[in-house]
Amino acid sequence: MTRPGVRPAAALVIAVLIALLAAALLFAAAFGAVQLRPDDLLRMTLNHVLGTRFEATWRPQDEAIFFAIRLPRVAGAAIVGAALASAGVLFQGLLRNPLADPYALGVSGGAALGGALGFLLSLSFSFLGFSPVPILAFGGALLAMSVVYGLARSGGRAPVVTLLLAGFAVSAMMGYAVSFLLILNDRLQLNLPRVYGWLLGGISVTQWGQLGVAVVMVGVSIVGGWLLRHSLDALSLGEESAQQLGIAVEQDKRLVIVLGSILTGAAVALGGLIGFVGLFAPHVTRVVIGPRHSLLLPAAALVGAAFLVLADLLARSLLPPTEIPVGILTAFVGGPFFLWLLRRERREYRL
Amino acid sequence: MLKISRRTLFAAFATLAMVLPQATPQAWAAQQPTQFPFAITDDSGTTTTFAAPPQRIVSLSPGLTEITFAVGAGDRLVAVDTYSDYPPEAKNVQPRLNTYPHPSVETLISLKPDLVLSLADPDEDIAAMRRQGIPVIKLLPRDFDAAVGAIGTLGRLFGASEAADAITTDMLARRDAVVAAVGDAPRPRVYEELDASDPDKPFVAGPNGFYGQLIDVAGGANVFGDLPGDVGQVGAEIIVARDPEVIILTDADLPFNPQTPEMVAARPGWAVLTAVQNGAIYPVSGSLFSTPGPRLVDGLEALAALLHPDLFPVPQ
Repeated sequence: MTRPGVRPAAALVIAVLIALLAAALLFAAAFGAVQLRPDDLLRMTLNHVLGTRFEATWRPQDEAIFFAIRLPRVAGAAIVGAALASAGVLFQGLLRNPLADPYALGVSGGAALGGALGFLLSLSFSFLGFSPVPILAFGGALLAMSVVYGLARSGGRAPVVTLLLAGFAVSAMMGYAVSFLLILNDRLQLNLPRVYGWLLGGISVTQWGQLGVAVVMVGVSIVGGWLLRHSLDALSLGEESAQQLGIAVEQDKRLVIVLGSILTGAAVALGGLIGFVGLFAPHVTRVVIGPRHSLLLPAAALVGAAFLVLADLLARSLLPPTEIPVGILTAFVGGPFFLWLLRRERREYRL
Repeated sequence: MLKISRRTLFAAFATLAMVLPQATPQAWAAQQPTQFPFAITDDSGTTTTFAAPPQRIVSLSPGLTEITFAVGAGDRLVAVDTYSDYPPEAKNVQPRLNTYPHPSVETLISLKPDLVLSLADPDEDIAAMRRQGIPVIKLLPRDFDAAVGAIGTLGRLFGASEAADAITTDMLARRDAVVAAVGDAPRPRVYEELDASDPDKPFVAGPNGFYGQLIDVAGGANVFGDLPGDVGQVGAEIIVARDPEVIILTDADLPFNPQTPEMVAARPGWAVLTAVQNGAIYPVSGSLFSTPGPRLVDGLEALAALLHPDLFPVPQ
């Protein structure tokens, strides 16, 4: 294996994607369900950041909307998008399956079960700024993944196919457990729209502190994943080949699962179960820049972040005052684009 | 477009408030006492004829249970749904049926009811019960007057029209008193929250249904009068932008994620709201605002007193 290093092309790709994300962030901060004047936003930001004293030509509510509600949400969308896209890269690489997404190892069922319990139990506590629903969803996600890994493991190995099938079965069982809970608890079907709305995903940031926690978890996991880039490249050739290349296959698989779980859990805690980003962002990035993980992982994270920031902008501003679950938009906007890209790139596609 | 429809709605409510209160109780009074056989056309469009007042009644909804007790027929209930918890005697009715996603037709047959009361069960389920020869009356009132009408209808069916008329007359008179007291007083901007499991995107009262109608009649201006239906999910941004003067928490007594005024005031960005700064955040009992039954008028009076403290004496 030759170390690819950071070629100019790679640096250029990353620079372009960072510019794209910056543009998406600016755009999403400038627009929303409520129209605020861009020059007001600029002046209130300067007042806030640099201590300038522009006279307030805006209402105090406008400042609250921008700093306390909109900006944390935009930042949250970027973090969740980056987390889902990186988790997608990790799981697709690990499982060598183009349909693998961050939820492949039972996470969607586990998170849904935890989240539903958070809705239906009468709990009121908070931890690091998170309320019961995200905390239980995070716990459910990690629990489901450990159960799947435990079930798939035998004789010190966890075969990829067993992981996938166990993930599918555990996810389905936990998903139906949610339906059962709702049957036991529903009152005139009042809980249904709430829990299913949450299952469709929606960025929810209620404190800046939550973002701090998430940034650390997601940042550390992405860096950790990047350190495993050679293992991921080797794993895509098959486990035997990876072993022959001197990769500690089982150990690295375990690390990838742990990192992917933390990424997915953090995403679930801030955004519920947002579909498609973790499938779409890695594939789109791979089609454009190729399958090498040293570039694929950071590039997909940036693409996922920019994409979800824009999808969330649509979710909160398309039908005001109604909020649309962001999962609907990720599928409607991302799906056609992805299909167009797949058809345009006629060359054979591989992970 | 939205503006016109809001104005039309308001005009419709105003008309209802002026016309119906006089007309309705007299209509009930004219028809008592009930003559059997007695025919009812229900909200599924089906006409059912009863030879005598039903004696074995199953209620599949808390509001219908409440009405049955209110007109004095509670002792004829042979089963209720699991959520029927008012009045307190309703909790003692056994068995208690699970109705979601479907009521069990087998169980219903075994109870040998001569009447099943349904609020919003799926049409197929109601049809299945009727195929088994069980008389089903579906009553799905969508507004205050329809709820009053449902009480009158059930009272007559149960041979208890006097008790029912006393309730309906009282409800309409108290509603009229609220409308008269509120008059042309300035309408405070009201935000009514139904569920804030996700406080960043709560479910709120829209213009239609009991929630929205009670806000209008109680003399409030619903800040989400432009939603397309009874209930909607809205972003925190837009709540702050519309700066409500009064916040009503019908989610204060929910079994899951109950909200308190302190929690609302502490939400990021909400401190600037007029309602928060004036301390006008009021937890209420949600069932008073959503259960179609005699207590709707209690909800209406409580709401009017919160919106117009100067016009109403302090509630006991």
